[in-house]
Amino acid sequence: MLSLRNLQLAYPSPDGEPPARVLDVPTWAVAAGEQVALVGASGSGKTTLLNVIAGIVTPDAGEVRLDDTDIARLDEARRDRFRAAHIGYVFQSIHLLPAFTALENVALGMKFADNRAGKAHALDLLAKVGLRERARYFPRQLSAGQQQRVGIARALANRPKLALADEPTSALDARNRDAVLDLMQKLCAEIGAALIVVTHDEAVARRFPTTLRLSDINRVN
Amino acid sequence: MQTLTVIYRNLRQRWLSTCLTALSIALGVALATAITALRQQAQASFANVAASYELVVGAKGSPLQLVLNTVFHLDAPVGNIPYAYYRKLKADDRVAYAVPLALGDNYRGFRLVGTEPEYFSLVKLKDGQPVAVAQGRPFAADYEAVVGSLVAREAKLGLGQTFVARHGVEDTVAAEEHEDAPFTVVGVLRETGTPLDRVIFISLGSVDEIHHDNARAGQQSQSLLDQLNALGAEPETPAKPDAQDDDRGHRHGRGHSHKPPSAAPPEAPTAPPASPAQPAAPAREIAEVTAVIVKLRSPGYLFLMQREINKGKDAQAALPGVEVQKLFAIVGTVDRALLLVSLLVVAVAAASVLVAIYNSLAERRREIAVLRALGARRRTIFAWLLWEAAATAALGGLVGVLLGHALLATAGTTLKFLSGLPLSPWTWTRLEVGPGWLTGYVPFEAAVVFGTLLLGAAMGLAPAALAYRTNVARYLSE
Repeated sequence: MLSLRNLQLAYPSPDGEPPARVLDVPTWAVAAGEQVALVGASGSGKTTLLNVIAGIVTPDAGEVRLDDTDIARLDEARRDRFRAAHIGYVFQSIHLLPAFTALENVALGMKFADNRAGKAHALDLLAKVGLRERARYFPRQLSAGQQQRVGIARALANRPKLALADEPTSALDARNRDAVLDLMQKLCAEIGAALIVVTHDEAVARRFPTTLRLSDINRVN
Repeated sequence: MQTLTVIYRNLRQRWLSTCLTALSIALGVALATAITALRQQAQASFANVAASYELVVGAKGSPLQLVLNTVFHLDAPVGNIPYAYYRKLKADDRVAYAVPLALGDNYRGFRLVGTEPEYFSLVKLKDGQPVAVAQGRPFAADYEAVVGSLVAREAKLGLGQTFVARHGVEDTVAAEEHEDAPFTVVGVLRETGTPLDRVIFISLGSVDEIHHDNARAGQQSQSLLDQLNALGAEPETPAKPDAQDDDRGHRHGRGHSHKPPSAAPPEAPTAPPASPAQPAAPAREIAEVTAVIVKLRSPGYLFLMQREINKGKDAQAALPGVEVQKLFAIVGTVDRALLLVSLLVVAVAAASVLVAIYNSLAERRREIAVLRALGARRRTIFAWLLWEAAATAALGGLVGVLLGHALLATAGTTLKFLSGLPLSPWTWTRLEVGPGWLTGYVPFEAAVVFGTLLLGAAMGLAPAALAYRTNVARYLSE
């Protein structure tokens, strides 16, 4: 389903030095519905890899193929549309939009994918993450755990083929961490989405059937 | 979710900044709206009133002052013309009617104007109807008065009530009261929406009576001998008229026998007198009048007659419509300066839209990055920022237009009291600048709101371009 091939990415150095290589992934594949934990230290390029897979960062070379589409070769507008429709992203710092209610945060994700399932679908998703009663609450009125559950609902609103989660539990306590991970794994399984979670936390990684170290796939490390 | 909801939510999130920015625009727009609407309505009101009068004849001097004083009952009179001149005009074959006016004193700031009773039937206003007495009857004797509708309302002068005039056309504490000469209200004019609503009409004879008394009092104070002489003197003793005296030119006519008024005692409302105690003004020998309103039998005589009168040494003839145009040409300079100031206020305020959105951008970069990560396209973010700027400015425009009309409503009450000219504060204002297809169909208010919307969008361009270039990966990781 997801396959990376000869992926190369380097950042330009400010002082005229040769560019700093960040990613060099000869090959990596994730099957449909597979749930993978990718473990690496801070600054090892985990987030960058997720951003490349999501089409937020364009690689210097190589393929990022989701089913038949090479995301790296799409122009920016198509990449944005493709991301909205097929890739769900759960952020490290939750990143709910403060001006919008929980329901509207979920609906916004649907808007960019031209998903016309409507408010009922968004409410249904909030019910699945246990926040049906808090649908009209603003992020500031929700706890960190509740906010991340809204973030999960938002990421999965368009039934993506692939869900990416960047340290999704780093802002949560242990009890909320387990609840959020359970929920994410359960919902991804329900819709058949592949799930890639990057983390530095071994306890998080142990909950996944497949665990990889970034260095296993990235030759830069 | 609708784009409008997104815009609304984003503006509400920063409501204080949004409100302050919109308010600063609103103040400039309110000023521009109030100035434009006030000028247009005042000009229309003045032109409407002026259109009711064909030709005004008065003493040599400023024609604008003559028109302001005769038609709008503002300003001081230019001077007086001989009563005989009025008779000459009236006898002219080309004249359909000629009605004399003599500026008298005031009651609580409302001017007393002497005229003939035929004024109420002959002079027709813009609506084609005569001035007309709505309650009671026209005056038929000296010391009877017909009051304008605003006078009746504001001064609470009903039929049969009496009042004492003060000397001069301005209501000042120092002004002398004609305590021995109270007037009785015998009629109330219909509401005309013109300066006539704030005028008290009396007979020409009444004007002569009270001022002959003044003149005589002045003479009495000169010497004891004069006072003693005056004791036995007949009131017919001529009192030399003084056209430009310290009463700002209001009439001091030749003497008439000054008799106590026939009305009931002051302060006691009484029924209107069944019959006049003294003969009406035309029976008297009047020395001077302030002005004459002239209606010609044919418009073709208008300029001919104006030239004839102006060539002579005794009087001048003025065309009220022309003088009003001149007045607004003068006023227009001030008006344009004020309008320019208000436009500058709007421009400065519009720059604050740019500042407000630019400042908010620093804290919104991460939000923008999140939106982009969720699949929002660059142009979507760009458009949202533009709409936010435009909506903030348009909100200011809308509030400003309403505020401007509210200002007009407040000013309108005072203006109506001072000039008798009504304002309609909640009517559309005409758009004066632009091509015909636009000015013909789009009111000023709609153009202003749309203009502020465009201005806001223009101000939002720079911040929107910055948002457009947001580095998603960088701000997601912050």
